[in-house]
Amino acid sequence: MEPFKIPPIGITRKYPELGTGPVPTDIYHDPVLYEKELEAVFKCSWFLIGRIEQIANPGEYFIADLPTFGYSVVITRDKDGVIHGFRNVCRHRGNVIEHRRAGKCSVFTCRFHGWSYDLKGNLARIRDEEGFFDLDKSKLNLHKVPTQIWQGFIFVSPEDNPTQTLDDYLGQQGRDLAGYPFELGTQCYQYEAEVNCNWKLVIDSFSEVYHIPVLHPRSIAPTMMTPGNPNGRMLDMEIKGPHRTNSHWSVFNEPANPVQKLAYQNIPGPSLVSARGAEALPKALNPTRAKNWSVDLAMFFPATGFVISAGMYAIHQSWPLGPNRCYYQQRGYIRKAENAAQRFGQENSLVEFRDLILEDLSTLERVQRALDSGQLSHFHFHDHEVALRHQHKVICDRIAALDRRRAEEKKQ
Amino acid sequence: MDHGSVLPGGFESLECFVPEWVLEDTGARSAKRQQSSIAQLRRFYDGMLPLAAKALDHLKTVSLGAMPEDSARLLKLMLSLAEIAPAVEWYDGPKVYDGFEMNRMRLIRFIPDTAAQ
Repeated sequence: MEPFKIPPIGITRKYPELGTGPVPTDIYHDPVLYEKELEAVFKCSWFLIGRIEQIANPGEYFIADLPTFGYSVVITRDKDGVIHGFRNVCRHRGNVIEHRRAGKCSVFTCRFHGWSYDLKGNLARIRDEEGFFDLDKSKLNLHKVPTQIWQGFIFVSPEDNPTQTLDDYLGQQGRDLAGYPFELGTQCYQYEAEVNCNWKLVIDSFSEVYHIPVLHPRSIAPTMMTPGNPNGRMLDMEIKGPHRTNSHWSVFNEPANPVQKLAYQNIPGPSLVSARGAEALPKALNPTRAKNWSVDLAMFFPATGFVISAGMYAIHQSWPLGPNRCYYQQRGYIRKAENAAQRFGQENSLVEFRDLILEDLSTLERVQRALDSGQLSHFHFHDHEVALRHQHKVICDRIAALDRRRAEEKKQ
Repeated sequence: MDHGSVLPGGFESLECFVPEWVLEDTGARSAKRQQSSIAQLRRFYDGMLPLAAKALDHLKTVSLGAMPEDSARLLKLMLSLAEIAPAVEWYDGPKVYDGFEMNRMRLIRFIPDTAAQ
């Protein structure tokens, strides 16, 4: 086989609007900018919270937390098969109406005073209703949450009247990824952690692979990067409005480690170390049609990243909790095991991806301490860290637009 | 049907690992790795490795769901091997080298060990 060509420098200059200069770090720690970012970026976004298979049958529900907003939502499928979302807050005294994470029921009964609600979120019954005064029950249904579906993923909006539809929010990125067999990843695992860093540092750690040969020298670097790509170059990046996709190559080394090697031979579906199956993917994946393509990071701005290979995919989400705190969620979706040996391959994938993240997160907390203590006023981004430059520009543009809007409102 | 054998025929030498390394689920396995010394992990790894390919050959002939108990135990030993392999192959210690503490990660959902998929 021909040796793979190392991708060249030159991605950043394809997008002249991004510039090439140092980038201020203030949006990574400044509390005032953080508040503006929540307003300008997060409150008008849509958030992925699960998949339709989690509520395959009428009466099934699950709870999803929206850490940035501080409340949880109940997602149900009613008797007609329609999916609903509402805030998990009883309209009487504010307890959650469901404390279990998932299950099946016909009504939700609050465990505080026993008010109950149906699967559409409508108030069903008030215990000892006679004792209340002039209640307008039509105003006491659960607070509905706009809930829409894309490719089997359930998204919710924190706005009662969303600024944009889910389709408009997903834009070209959503259209491009449609058709990937997401539903085949039936086996799901999920890890979460509170991390003491700005939410963007978590996103950044997936958005550049320049760090891989150095920070992940014994885990992912030997199969993906070295030898052959010692500087961790990616294939390309494509910008789609606020969203973008990074495309990555691999040297496709067979793992030298014996257990890892056995696991790779027993992964259900197309393997991470072969290009097999890549031909059937939507055109948006592996856009350069590289023979040594391994995985794409398809980002939905601001904070949902799909890491997609031919055989499995993972979703990384970072929820802001403050200027220097965030909540990280990792979901892995793996194809079903055809036999018990492939169950071993699945477990290895979970363990590898988890340990890989543990390698990243400790570094991010140290970077945050440098930022919080004013040690680093600017970032100097490598050509292949261009995704971070793009993110910075989108956020700064949104904050500038918010500032203009507020200035206008003040004048009036 | 369990006919009383702890592990399928040919894997008797792994029986000594069953009490310690046949564990409930993914969460129990990662906790066990974190609580073990690298010497303990290496003993398990070194004991399992010579029979690991053969174990997978056996497991390829078995379907998930309604697994015979001896095969299910063998699978669980292999799942423990998957959990601890990075400790031996990557980190030379139970924890991720210079990493984020495992006990700060919450395992929310995981794949059942032996259930049909």
